[in-house]
Amino acid sequence: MPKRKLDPLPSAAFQILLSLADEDLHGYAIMRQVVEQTGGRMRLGPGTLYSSIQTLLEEGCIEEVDAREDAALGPERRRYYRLTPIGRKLARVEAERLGDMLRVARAKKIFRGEHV
Amino acid sequence: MSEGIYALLLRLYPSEFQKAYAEEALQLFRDRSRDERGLVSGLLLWLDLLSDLFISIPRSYQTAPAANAKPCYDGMPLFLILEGEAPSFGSLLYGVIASILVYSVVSVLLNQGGTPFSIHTSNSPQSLSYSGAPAAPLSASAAADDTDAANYADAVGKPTPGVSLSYLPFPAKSGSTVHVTASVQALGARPTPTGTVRFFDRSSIVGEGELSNGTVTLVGKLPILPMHLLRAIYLGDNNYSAVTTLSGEKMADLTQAANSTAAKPPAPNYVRPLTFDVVSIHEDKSGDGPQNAWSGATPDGYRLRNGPLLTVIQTAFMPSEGSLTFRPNQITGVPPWAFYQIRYDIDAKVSESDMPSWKDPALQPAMLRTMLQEMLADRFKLTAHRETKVVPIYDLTLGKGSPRLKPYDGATLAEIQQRHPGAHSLAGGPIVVVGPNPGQQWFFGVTLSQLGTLLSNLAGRPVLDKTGLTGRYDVSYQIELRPPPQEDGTPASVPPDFFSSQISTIVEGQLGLRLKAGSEPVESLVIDHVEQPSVN
Repeated sequence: MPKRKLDPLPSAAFQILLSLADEDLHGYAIMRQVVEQTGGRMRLGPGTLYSSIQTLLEEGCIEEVDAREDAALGPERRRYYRLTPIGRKLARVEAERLGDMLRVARAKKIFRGEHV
Repeated sequence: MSEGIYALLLRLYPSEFQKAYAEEALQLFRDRSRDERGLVSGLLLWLDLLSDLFISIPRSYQTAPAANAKPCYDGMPLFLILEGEAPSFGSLLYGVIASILVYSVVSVLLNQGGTPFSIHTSNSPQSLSYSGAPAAPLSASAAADDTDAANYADAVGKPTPGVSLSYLPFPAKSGSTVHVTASVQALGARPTPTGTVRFFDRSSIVGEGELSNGTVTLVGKLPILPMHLLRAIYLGDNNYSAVTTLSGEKMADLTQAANSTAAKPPAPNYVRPLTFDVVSIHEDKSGDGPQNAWSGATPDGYRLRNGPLLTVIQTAFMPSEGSLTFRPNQITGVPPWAFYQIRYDIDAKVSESDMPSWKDPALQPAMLRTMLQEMLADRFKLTAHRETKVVPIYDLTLGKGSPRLKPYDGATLAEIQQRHPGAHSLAGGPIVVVGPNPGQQWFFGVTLSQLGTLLSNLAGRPVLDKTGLTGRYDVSYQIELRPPPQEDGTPASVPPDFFSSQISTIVEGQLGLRLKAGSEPVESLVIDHVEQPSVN
């Protein structure tokens, strides 16, 4: 279950969890994935990114896996992070909550037609 | 330099965070800097970073960060969540202003070769904060690509001038006043360099002054220390980038002078020049071919076997931009006997008093060059000067992808020799390993400038580093030593352009870098006079 530090779940942490849903990623790849999945609306700076990662690690939502090189970025070894079952569950709960909010918004006709 | 500034800013985070993530944050900074180039992208990058710093640093010190805040309305935390991550207008405005300020400072430092410190002297003599005496006017040469120079260096394409350091009187009397002069040479038709030169003894700043007609002289006294390592860093101006004389280019062993004082009162107060203790020079009569030539530092000095004098000259004089050696076609005025006709055996020994310094890997390369220059002047009556000519070159630049360069982990020669027994170091510091496959080359701790020199030997023209990368790297590439055999199985002859034709494959295919042909002023060494020595 979500722990106190992630209640409510900050959007940065939620985006990091989503970015790791498909594969293990290192910090810079997480940042790029978040940019991509938010259509460029969220670009995590290093401080926000790594403080969020730190919290997610402490809460067991992600785990660190073996450091390795990213062939596309050069020979530097990088720490990779993996979504844990707890993290996946937390992301699902948050997505469901956002889905509920979306349904409320639709019911209240907040959106204009082309966005519904 | 930008990375250095960001590294400093990271120190604002709690120490636990720094320990855990500072290196990763820097890595991310490097990644973004590499991928987001240009003025606008650079500005946006710093805007992002500063906004991030202003938001995340206060949070990182909070025991109950914003993420912990309870929602005002149970079950409806969405707006709070979003607001918790989005910067406020005030933060953004603060970030914009701070970004512009920081970016302006960075731009000024990069483009003007400026200094973050105050400049407080003129070219008139001034006192240094020392007492005691240096040193001897050792022959001068200059080298960029030193750590300090890299900190000051301009990575955006301004040419690097030559800078030399000398001091008088020679010999210097202990306690006497010494004039230390730095000269920064103009390149081609470019204007005379202006700006500031900073003087160092080891890592201590001993003074600085403004150039006048390309020179600046400081006057002062140096303390009696076992060894002085004097150098000057030119901080650059609108036309030239920053450059330093090599660390240890000027040195004097004052221990010897102090020890001698008791034995021989008048002379011992004087510092002797840095020379080999014993030099033996013979023509090589072995009849071996050039493939058996050998040249290099030994545990107690220098040895040349079956080599031409040109090899010694290449070892003694380093190009000002800091690459490993002058290529043979960058040295003019060498008579045929010195170029290839006469092959020498030379054995030079370092004195016992200089041996502690000689055994210091940080000092030995500069000591070797200085001692060889003294030997060439003394035994071969060699005089030379540097000049700059426009010649065809290749610019070595970053490719579209990431370069395949591994950051150097600081492994020493001894450590590398444990893995590769044949490893040896080159002048300038990098360690080379050949093999185990034919044509395979490994270089450890090589700068991009030095890599350019190594590639020059293949390319047949100077390869100038324009990558902007200032670190040392481990690099490996494979050279084809022979063309494939002919259809009937007989060995094919090696065409004249066989090696130069491989340069694109190596640089682009194996190193992930790029070559761009052009022509540029390149420094050459002109031998004004040299004569055959009286052999012993």
